[in-house]
Amino acid sequence: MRDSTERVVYMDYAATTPVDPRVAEAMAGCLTLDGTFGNASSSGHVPGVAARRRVEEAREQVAQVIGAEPAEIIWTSGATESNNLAILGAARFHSDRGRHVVTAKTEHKAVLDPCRQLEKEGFSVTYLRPDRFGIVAPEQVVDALTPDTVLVSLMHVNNEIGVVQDIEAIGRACREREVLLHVDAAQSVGKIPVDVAALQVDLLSLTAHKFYGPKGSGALYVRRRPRIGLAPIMFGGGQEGGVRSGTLATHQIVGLGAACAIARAELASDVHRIEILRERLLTGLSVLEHVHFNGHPQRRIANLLNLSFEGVEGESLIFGMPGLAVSTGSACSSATQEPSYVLRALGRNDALAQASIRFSLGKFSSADDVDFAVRVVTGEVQRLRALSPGADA
Amino acid sequence: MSGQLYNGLVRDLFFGAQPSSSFEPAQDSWLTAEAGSIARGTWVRLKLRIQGARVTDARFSVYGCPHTVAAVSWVARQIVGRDARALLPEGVAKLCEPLEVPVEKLGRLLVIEDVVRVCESPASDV
Repeated sequence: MRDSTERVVYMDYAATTPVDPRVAEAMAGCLTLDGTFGNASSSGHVPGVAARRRVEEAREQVAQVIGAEPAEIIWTSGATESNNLAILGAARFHSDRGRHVVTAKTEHKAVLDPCRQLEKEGFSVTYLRPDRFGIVAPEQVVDALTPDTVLVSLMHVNNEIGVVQDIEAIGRACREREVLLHVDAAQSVGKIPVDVAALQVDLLSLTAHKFYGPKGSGALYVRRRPRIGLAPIMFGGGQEGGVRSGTLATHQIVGLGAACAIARAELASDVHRIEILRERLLTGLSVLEHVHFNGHPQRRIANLLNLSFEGVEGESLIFGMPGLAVSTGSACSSATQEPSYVLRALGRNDALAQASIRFSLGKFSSADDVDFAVRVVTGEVQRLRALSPGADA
Repeated sequence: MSGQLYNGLVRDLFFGAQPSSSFEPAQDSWLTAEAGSIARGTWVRLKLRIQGARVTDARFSVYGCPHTVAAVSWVARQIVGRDARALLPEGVAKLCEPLEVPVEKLGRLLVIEDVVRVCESPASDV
């Protein structure tokens, strides 16, 4: 039996990332009595003012990584909260203009569940079906818009298969029709260039823990020119202009800011190195037959590879590779044993959807890690296939 | 899926499961039965060598979750030496306790029981 001291290779960066030591150091400086521990809302004393200064520096850092103005950044606890605030907040605020929302079947549950909540509140929601590569065509979005549509919500990069949507074209279409566009950028910020002006988005969610920042820290970009109205979903101290109440977690915010600054400086070199590792992984696994690639061959993010293995039961495959930390389906839904709804939406049958593995690499991944993964995956796939020869499909 | 869902016995049986694909039994002394399908997520095949109404060897093939693999492996060990007409009188459900099988997986173990009952039927006609 494997014990805790045995090697585990981490290839689940799309689920979460380790905090960069430089980020951890910045955060540590905001915790103790000798650090910047004050409440940023306490403007009447030095510790509070110091905390406020760090918070605003971080706001500038986040704004820079997405091409926004600092005043357009609202602090949240992560992408789930940002998505909820964007979708529920925008739909409710603008409900006098219309009560129709457009999204896609392959969105994260942090988008789908707020949409389902809106349906309970009397909104209608259209769930677009992507093509077999996971792409939602801009024409599909345009065709779904009605005079009653107030919001479109689509993710920039899919968390399971890594496809990159044409947000620029979708943004243009929405802007022309004065429909708000919300983008869940949890898997794109820090991995590909994001410019809210070029993409013409009105609301954008991001979260620190996907790019070497702390869990529990995120932001929502809210366009100010013209100002986008949002109804708050949390009520209390009136922080963040009343849009998001709650004491600001200075250390978390500083961590997010530091992660953004590092991403901005190192994105190009990280992506290049990770792309090489991903190709090494794909080449190594190509010795196996009956393996299906999930996603678009070109419109994809560098660090993610999703493969389905025929003739192998998914739970057994994962269990049979204890030294490899990967995901089947979305991490947020991994408590259930349901086949990936994303892969099912792309046309994979249940067995193939369940036998999929998402490999996601990161800045701390190495060639040794990739070679280990290749050995472990090929070995276990071959063993499990040998256990079930001639299985009645 | 958390590693904590599988106890030590499941781990040992799962990782110790050996493929029987290279084994070619003699036609007239072996009994083969299977049940389930990949589409349903569980498939099991048993091959039993029966001599003098007793099982003298048991091989299996399986497609399924770790609990299913472990359960089939366990059953194959248990039934060697038993009367071929009563392979598993205690039923597969009794395996749930030592293997700590979650209740929602009981249906998968019943596929194993289906195969065992099929194996028992032709042997009882001998």
